[in-house]
Amino acid sequence: MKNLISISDLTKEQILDILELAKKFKDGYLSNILSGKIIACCFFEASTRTRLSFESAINYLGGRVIGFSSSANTSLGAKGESFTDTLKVIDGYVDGIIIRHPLDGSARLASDTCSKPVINAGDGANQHPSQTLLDLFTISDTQGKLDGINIGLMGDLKYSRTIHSLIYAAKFFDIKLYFIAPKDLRMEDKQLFMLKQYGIQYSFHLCVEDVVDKLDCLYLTRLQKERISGCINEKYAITLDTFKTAKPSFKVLHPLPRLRELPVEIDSTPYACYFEQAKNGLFVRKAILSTIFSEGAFHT
Amino acid sequence: MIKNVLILGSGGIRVGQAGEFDYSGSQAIKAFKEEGLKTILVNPNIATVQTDKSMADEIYFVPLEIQYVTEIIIKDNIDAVALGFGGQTALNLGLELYNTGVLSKYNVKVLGSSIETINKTEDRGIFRDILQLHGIKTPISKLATTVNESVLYASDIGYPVMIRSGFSLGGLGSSRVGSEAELREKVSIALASAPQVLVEEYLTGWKEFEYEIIRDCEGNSLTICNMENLDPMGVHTGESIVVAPAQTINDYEHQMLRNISLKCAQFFNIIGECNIQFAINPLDGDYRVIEMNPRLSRSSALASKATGYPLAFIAAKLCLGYKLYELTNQVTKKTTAFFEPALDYIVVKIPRWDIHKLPQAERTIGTEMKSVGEAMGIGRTFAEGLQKAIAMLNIGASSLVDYPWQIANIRHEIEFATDRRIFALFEWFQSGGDIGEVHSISRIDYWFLTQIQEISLYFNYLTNNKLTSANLLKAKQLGFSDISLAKIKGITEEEIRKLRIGYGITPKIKQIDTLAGEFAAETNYLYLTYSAISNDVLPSKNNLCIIGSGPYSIGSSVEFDWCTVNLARQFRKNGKEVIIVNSNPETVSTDYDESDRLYFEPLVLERVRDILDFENVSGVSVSVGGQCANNLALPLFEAGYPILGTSPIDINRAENREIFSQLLNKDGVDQPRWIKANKLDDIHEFIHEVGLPVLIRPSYVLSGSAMKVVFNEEMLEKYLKEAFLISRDHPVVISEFIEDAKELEIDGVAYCGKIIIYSISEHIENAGVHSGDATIVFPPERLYLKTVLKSKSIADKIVKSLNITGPFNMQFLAQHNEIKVIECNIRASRSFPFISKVTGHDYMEITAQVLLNKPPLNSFNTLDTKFIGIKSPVFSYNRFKGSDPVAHVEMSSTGEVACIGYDLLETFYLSWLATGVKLSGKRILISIHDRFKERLLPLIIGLNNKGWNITATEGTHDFLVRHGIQSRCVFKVADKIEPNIERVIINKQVDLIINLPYNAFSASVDLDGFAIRRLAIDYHIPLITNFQLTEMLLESLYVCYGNKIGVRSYNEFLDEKAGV
Repeated sequence: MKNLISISDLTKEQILDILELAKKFKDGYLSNILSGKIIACCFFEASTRTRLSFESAINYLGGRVIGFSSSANTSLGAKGESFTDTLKVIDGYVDGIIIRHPLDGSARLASDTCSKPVINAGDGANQHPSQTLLDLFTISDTQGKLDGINIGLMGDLKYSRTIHSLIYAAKFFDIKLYFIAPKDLRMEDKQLFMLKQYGIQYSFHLCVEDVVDKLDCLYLTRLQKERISGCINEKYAITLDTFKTAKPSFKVLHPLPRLRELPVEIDSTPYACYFEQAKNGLFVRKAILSTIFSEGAFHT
Repeated sequence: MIKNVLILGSGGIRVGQAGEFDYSGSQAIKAFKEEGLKTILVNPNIATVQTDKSMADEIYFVPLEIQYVTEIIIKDNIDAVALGFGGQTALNLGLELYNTGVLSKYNVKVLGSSIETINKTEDRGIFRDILQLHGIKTPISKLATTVNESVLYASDIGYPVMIRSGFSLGGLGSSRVGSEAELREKVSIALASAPQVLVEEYLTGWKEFEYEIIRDCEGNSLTICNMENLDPMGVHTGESIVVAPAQTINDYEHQMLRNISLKCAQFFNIIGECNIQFAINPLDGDYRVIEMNPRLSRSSALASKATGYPLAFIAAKLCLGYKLYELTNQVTKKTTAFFEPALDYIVVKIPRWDIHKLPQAERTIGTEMKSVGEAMGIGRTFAEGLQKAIAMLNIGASSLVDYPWQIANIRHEIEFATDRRIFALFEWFQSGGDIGEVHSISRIDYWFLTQIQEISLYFNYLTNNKLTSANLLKAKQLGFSDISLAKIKGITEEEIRKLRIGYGITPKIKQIDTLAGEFAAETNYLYLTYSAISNDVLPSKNNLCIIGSGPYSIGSSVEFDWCTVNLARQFRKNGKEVIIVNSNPETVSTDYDESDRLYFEPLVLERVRDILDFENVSGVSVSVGGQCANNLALPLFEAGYPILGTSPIDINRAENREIFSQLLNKDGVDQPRWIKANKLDDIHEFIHEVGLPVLIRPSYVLSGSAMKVVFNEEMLEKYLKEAFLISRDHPVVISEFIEDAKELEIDGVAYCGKIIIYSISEHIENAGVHSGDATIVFPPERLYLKTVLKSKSIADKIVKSLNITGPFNMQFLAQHNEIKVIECNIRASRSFPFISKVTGHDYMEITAQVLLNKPPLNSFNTLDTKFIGIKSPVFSYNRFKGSDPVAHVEMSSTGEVACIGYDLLETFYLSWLATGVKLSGKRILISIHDRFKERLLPLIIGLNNKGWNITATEGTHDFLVRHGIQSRCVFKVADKIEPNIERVIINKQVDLIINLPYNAFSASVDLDGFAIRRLAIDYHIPLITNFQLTEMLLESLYVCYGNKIGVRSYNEFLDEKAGV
């Protein structure tokens, strides 16, 4: 594995290997596999958890980080340098590049441009594979398995890339997906076609209460203010009442940051799992970096 | 010591498993009971004789599945099981019971040939190895378990090759393969239903023979009969014209095959009966053993009826440990069973095909069975036997020379055999074709070809010469029917008959005595021939004659044999001597002990009159043998013979559409509007009045084509014009087609215009599905009381108007309590055995009483029965390659099964399973037309909530997921994207397929749907194509799936108090 651009580039075995390694890190495994290496964190778009957890992981693994957290102060943003030129230059300075960019497909372009490994940390509404892996890790960690799991996906199905990535991963496992969204935020045909092509079992629902008893996890995403009206927002918030019929092992996941869809009173219930999920980000990213930079894996 | 014996039946009649197992099972039951054994029978085929109260001691109408049979074994403390009397179904089930340890766990002994024997003969690889070990030649063949393996072997052997799959019935999944591409396709289909496939040398043109063998536990054995296929290798025995005894081998070859047969029976330690098939190279006499069946089969039924040797009965006795020399041949009463039969006549069997009744089905015949029945003709020459057998087929030909349809490409139909090859051969000679050439394209032996040529030559001779006494006698000895002679001479059948009798030319009655007259025998097995000088018997006294059913076909099956047998038993109870006339070797009615005299003769006017004239019969029953017998009513009546029951004039009033319609109008009974039209304008006017759709019945004489429902004018004109279906002389009947109406039936028996007993049953499927293809519920569960009462009162009126005495059947449409009469048949219907068994009243007993003018005085209540019965059709679509498996206005089912119970859904579910479907899991594939989506939604949600996995084609899938149903999408075959429905079906990723086209009549244009349905059939996945049936099935799966359904015997149901 040289790059990590899309979850669809991975085989089921590769995914399971990463999750297993992440579990080792979570259980206290130490490694300095990045010793002597410099990784560039190129964030053309704002991020807290993704950037900081990657940087933290690099540091824990003995590597060093350079980079930027917004395109504003780069030649690209300030002087109009092309994206590929910018990447080619950075490629010369470092051992690997972690990239986030608001445009769909930018990470793939970066990996085609660069000789060093590229890790996609989110490209527009397209893919966010490290998030997917940490989501899978959290599901597997809390449920003890990935096969035979029912996952509710709720909120912004149209734009949320975390959800789109999770769909890619679902094809590897016996995972049933329950989509809960207002009509305006249903998935686009492209994603629907993907679900069909992957032979995934899924269904659509207007209301989470209709299906909560069947779910093992509910994956909630932020309803982005600029995209939706207030009334939808109200309706798509969960409350303590939502979980009346939930299984005891039921967990709520959320990629964070949250808005009103996930009220703070949930935090104190046994169902809340999103901070744990965020914490898992560190272990999973350690596992991703370790896998990419493990001996023999990267020498071009 | 065994005290009881479990007999496994063969289930619903289907291609490859027909009435022959009612014969063998019934004989076995009689043989076991005679020894004081308690007999327990499992068979959901309710229309059989063997499932009568008077036959087995306990009867179970349950699916022939391991789960139910195991329960019966425990419940009834079974000591022994007989596997050889229920065809391949029973044999396979027996193996399963053995392999799963059920037989050993409950200490059940296998009677007759052991499981080891069955395994060795059924596993083609082992079978071949054992024969080779003993120096017996088998076709060069290799066992493949994968497609690639088969390709490798085929290239070793050289194309063409033959592929066969193991453990199959009637040659399903075996075929000739000419290329690698074809091999890959066919092997993958074959491997879907069997674990292994044999790739064999293709013995094109070799002659084919079969030997029937019987052997006891001491090793005494004999060959009962040898049979020869007219069609050489490449045509399945069940598809071939067969003669007994063999005609074209010499004594050396015969003795060789006989010895090998006996040796084989010994190698495999057969106890009871088996048969062996051979191929013989016509050039050098080299041979191969093709296969061996360690059980009674269709061939053994034929052999038994052909020789008069009661094979099944003796086989059953041998299973119990009797030796051959200890048993008496009950037919002759003179000889022991250890006596090889001899024949002083020739038997010709012809399969009856109905392929043309299934739209789009391929008409060619070959290594897989497609025929649905058979007729057997007995004569003293091949020509006589052949022409008699043809007359028995009821396909419009009274002999070889008057086949009514045109054969467009004679040579092609001879080279690539179809169901009408024999007629094509006659035409070949008629058009001056060369015998050498026809031999080279057909590989049929010169001997047979010469016989056909002789018929052709004599046909020409008669055309050009006077019908002298000598010529007429010669013609009759060659089997020419009076009708065919009448056609040649341009006079009527009656005139020929008068001329013939005037010349003193009448057929003589001969016995089938198994000993060729060596000793005087007491047999009552009779046939007629013109090549004899005296009768073997004197006319009987105090006699009644029953016309049987003739060959089984789609629409006429074992149910009419049940009626025949039961009426005969009742007549005999009333002290009458019963004469049965029938031509079908697969029946119980042709058993030696079911009548006082059996005439194995065609059910045609000429022959029945000959018999009636000789026997001086005091009454003839034409009302229990189905339509074939019914058709003889009026002509026999007009010729002055005494017909039992309803006057044939009244029968005709029901049959004649115009008269019947007037009668209904007079009685104030509603019917769908109809006209008889011979101009397109009239049709347009009619459609303008009643609206579309309409049902069109073309004149059968003109086209032989089927009824059709048309939905628009364009379809109508295209249909009528293209097929030239309308002309001045041949009008079509067009009737209003009522959609979304319920259909119900009344079956009953009346006396002098008054109903004595009747029963109302409802169809689950709405109108538009032929009553023979419908699922029948009795008593009705979902009919309005008012509908029931109105129908009964209509039936009363019609029965009175037609002055019915005897059985009748009426069919009705009901919509919002409005009742319309569709038809009335003044004869027993196919529901009679079902209704008799569910009501507990024997309708044939009552029929016998009214026919004998002794109507029962008590009244019968059949509305609130103790339990309900549901009858489901059994289809053989897998045999009819290319056919569209959607039930429609023309019947296409080949058989039926029924289960009884207390609960509608549970009984329906059992009945559905009893048709032989295997539901192996909870994965449903749904592909349905928009009109059904909303209506099925609640049921699908229910199943989805119960953990059923749903897979759906895109449109259906989008609908389902929008409604919150977990579904996986598959793409249609034509989309060519994965996941594709084709792969999903081939890989058996679904367990049940629901495919609902807009309606059965639009199915032919719905190519995607057709692909799904055909794949479902070819890969043996249960398929439902009717909306009402889908509703009922999904409901019953919701309630019953996974539940343990307790088994109860028929007696237990009868003994239970009402209202449980």
